[in-house]
Amino acid sequence: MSEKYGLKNWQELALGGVITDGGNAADYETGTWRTWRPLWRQESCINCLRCWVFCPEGAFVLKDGKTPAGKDRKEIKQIDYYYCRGCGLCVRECPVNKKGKKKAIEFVREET
Amino acid sequence: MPETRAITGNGAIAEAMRQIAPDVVAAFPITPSTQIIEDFAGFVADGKVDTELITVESEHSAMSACIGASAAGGRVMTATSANGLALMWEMLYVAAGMRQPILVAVVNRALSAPINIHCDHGDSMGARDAGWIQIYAENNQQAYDNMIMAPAIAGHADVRLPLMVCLDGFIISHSIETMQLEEDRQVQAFIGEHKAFHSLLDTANPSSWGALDLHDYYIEHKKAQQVAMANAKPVIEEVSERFGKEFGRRYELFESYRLDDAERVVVAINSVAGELKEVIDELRDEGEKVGLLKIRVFRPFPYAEIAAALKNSKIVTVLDRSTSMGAYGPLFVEICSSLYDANPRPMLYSRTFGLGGRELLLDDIRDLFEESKRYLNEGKIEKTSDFLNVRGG
Amino acid sequence: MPKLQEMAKKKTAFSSGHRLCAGCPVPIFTKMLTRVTDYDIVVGSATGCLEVASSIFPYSAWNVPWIHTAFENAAATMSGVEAMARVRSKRNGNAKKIKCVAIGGDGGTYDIGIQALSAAMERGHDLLYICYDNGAYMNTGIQRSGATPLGAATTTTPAGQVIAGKQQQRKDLSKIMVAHHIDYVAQASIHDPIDLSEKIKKGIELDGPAFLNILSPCVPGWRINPDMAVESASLAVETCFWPLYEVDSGDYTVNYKPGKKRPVSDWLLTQGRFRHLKDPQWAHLIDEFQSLIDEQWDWLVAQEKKA
Repeated sequence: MSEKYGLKNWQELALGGVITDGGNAADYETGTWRTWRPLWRQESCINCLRCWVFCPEGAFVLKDGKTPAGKDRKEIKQIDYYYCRGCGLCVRECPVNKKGKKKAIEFVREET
Repeated sequence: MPETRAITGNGAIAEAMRQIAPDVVAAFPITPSTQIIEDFAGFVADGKVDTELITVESEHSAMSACIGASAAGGRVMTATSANGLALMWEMLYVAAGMRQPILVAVVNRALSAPINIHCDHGDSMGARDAGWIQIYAENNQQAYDNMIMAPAIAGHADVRLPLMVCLDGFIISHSIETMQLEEDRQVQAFIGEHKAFHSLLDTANPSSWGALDLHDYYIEHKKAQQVAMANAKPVIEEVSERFGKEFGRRYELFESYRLDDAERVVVAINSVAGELKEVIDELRDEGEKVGLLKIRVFRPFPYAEIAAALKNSKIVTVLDRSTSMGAYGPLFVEICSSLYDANPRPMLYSRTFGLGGRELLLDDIRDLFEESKRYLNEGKIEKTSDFLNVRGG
Repeated sequence: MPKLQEMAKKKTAFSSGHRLCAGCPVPIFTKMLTRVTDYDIVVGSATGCLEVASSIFPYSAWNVPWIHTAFENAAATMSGVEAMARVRSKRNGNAKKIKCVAIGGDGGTYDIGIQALSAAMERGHDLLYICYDNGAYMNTGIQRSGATPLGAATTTTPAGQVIAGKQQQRKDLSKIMVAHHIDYVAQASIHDPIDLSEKIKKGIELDGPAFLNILSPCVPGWRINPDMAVESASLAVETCFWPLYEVDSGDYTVNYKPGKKRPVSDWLLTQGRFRHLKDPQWAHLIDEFQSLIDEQWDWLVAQEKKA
């Protein structure tokens, strides 16, 4: 069984059910849950980071950037679809979207 | 220098705790174990130990805090009795499943209802499947000695399991006996350093404890726990032997008292062994081949060793100081299991005594041996299971 | 928003790949824990959604040391961890100070865990206890808790023909915690990340016990769309169902006062769990709810004035 599924034998486990590499859930894909897909539009994004702070999956990837005035800042780089479950929270909470003229995050049905 | 002192069982356990000097003690008062924590609080207040004493609001929180402190790398102890142990129940399994070598002095007392504060073994016997090592003591000295041995057993790399040192409520906990307290430094050298694994305080290497374990891993973790419990047996023997060499008092998994050629044997746990030995000596003087097998280690249970020790017996009376409602007493069941393959197999029967502190007097024990003599002569056991000293028969 | 920029520079305590429901807002605060402070932290969880979804063996979403032992005892378990952290500091004065955080849902905090919580706070452990209040036992399938609001339908207080959901008002745990006279008690909401982050920071960094109650809507339990958690929490604050306030060493501050308090029905009737209250026969429950809110809001504002 263990060979087929890559599961460990009892002798190979840490004592007491301890997980010794905390944070390893990052190896686990939750993007497969998604039926709708947020599409981030860099050209409309104001980098307020509200999508980043609200995203339950931590799916907004940041990069180093500059403000128009030249100060260092973190900016949205992309959405990591390995994790994004497509809840749409970012789409609803995006202040650009809320103003209603244009969209910084669109929401489209996943192609099946 | 070792000190000879007249002290209660609770006092002796508190002294052992002071010598072990745990990092954290989390405890809640309950009769008859309370004095252990009172004495220990005194040691803390006087600066004789630098333990963090957490005076929690319940035994459930006592065991929970013990688990937290142990997972954070500490050497951890507590004490309790009866309903207190029952309130810990959920957490006993968690401590064992998390492989935390937490040490608990269980001062045996009857469980409610009806409420009763006196001795029987219903509390610790109910916890026998919780995954804790259980070591029992006949008297104050043995309770102290078992506690001194406990850290080395529970914390052994092959074991890593929690451990209960069990002693009889009031009979031992509150009785003053003259006994030997060993020297602090010698005790501490015997115990050695506490080794933690994956401490929660190791923030550079974050570990996660108490994860949800589903059908893909739960049984593997339980198998590892069962193997650890099996490992505990040789470790207890090894530590007991080292203790004997160091301090001169020798212990085995159980005590065989005039057992080698005994035809009629009583198997019992804890303080009643004192009275049994008294009567056995008398009967031996009269030429009766009687003996005692006194359980010391109940978990892990030494099945094969007990079978070997009872190989010459013809009839075995098992005394349980607790009852399993709707079943035979827990000790009787284990002795039956031990002897199933014995050939020839001795006659076996069960007697339950002492619930809620009911006395078992020397005359009662003489009657008990008379009964086993009659059964042996008649080749037949009249009653496989019965209560002793209960009004109404 | 400079505060979010500051947080964005730091590593999160909570990784992706956890298995909370889509749209569950709980990670909004768990992701923040290490982003608001330079202290090393240890986290302990009560049994509940967060615990289950963050630690399905062999995976853990916790980038910080984490422990779960049972449902009713996160505060007790963390009392032990905190005691051991003190032992460590005592033995090694140079050791970096470690701060302890316990987290439970409203079931594990208002109800089964209140004894352990109360005692841990009374004992004065250096511990921040965070309750994420979603108003029911969501992990076991939306059963009513002491935090479930009046009139809410849960699986054990269904909206039936003759009984309209939960018949009792929720208990005010934050007030109970204030009565412990601990250093810091606060209510926050997942919809206001700045206020939330400041409160988490304060709770972690002060030396002593602190309690933070975070409103955290539950998508299946409140019967809202997966994108609605933040908006629903915001409405709870705008209607003053969930005031944002803090009690710092006994002094009350109301952190947000809506310009115009919206009627509670604006919040209630956007959630499926209160849908039955649209039936005119239950209109009096909405009135009762509104007067409870008004009374409590007035009381709260009066406390601030006293200070």
